[in-house]
Amino acid sequence: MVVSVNHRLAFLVVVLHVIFLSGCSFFGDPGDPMEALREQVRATVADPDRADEMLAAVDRIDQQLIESAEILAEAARQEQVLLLDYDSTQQDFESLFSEATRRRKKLQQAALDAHLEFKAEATADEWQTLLPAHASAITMRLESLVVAAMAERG
Amino acid sequence: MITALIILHFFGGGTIELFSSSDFRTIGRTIEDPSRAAVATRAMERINENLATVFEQRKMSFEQLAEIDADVDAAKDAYEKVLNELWQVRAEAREKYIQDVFIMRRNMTRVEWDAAFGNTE
Repeated sequence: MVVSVNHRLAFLVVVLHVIFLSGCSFFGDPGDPMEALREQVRATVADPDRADEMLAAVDRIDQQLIESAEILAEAARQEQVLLLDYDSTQQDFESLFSEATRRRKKLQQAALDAHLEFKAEATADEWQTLLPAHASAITMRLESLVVAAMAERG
Repeated sequence: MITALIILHFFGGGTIELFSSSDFRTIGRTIEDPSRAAVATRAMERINENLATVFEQRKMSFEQLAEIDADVDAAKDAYEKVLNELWQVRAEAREKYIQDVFIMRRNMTRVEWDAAFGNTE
């Protein structure tokens, strides 16, 4: 029974950080969802210059997602340490949350900018075609990155 | 389990209960003094309630963002307004969560805390 609580603690912190800190997943499929999005852009946007701009925006969004997932996983790991330490303080928790939030907000802003750059290059018809792939790609990518980052950190 | 919960969150379905009924029983047995056990388990209940509230807000915010995103001409500030509101709810929830963790700790001795949460595997 004690082990049950201890195990719960490990994913407790992941849940908390996903809820309290995650920020970009509204944009956002299994496999390699970002590559599927890139393929959809190439298939939908006939103008190669605009397609290149959109693909560059996808690359920037992907980089923000990678960094966000790393912050999320690291914050969760650090919080687990604090929870296990009877002598940790409220200030320790507040500092951890504040710093992780500050970093993730900055990444969220960059991801939003890249997202809007992507949209700005699309015609209305192209956007309606790309929207489902775009939304699912980003959600699934962030999800898989967080899971991978957590697994890497044990 | 971790993966399942993360996926649950990203898909926005269901509700979250961080502490299960078995966790409540464990804490109840670990804390020797019934009055302290009652305070600690109430804090655990509030953490569950707090998470459920933020979870619902997050789901609503993502639905709002999806609506905004459907408009190819949506302005940046429309996104930011929803995102900022969600960050505010998260910040308030984090404060409550930290307070409840420390209410639990204040009502548990070091031995009890380590027995409940320590590396006892």
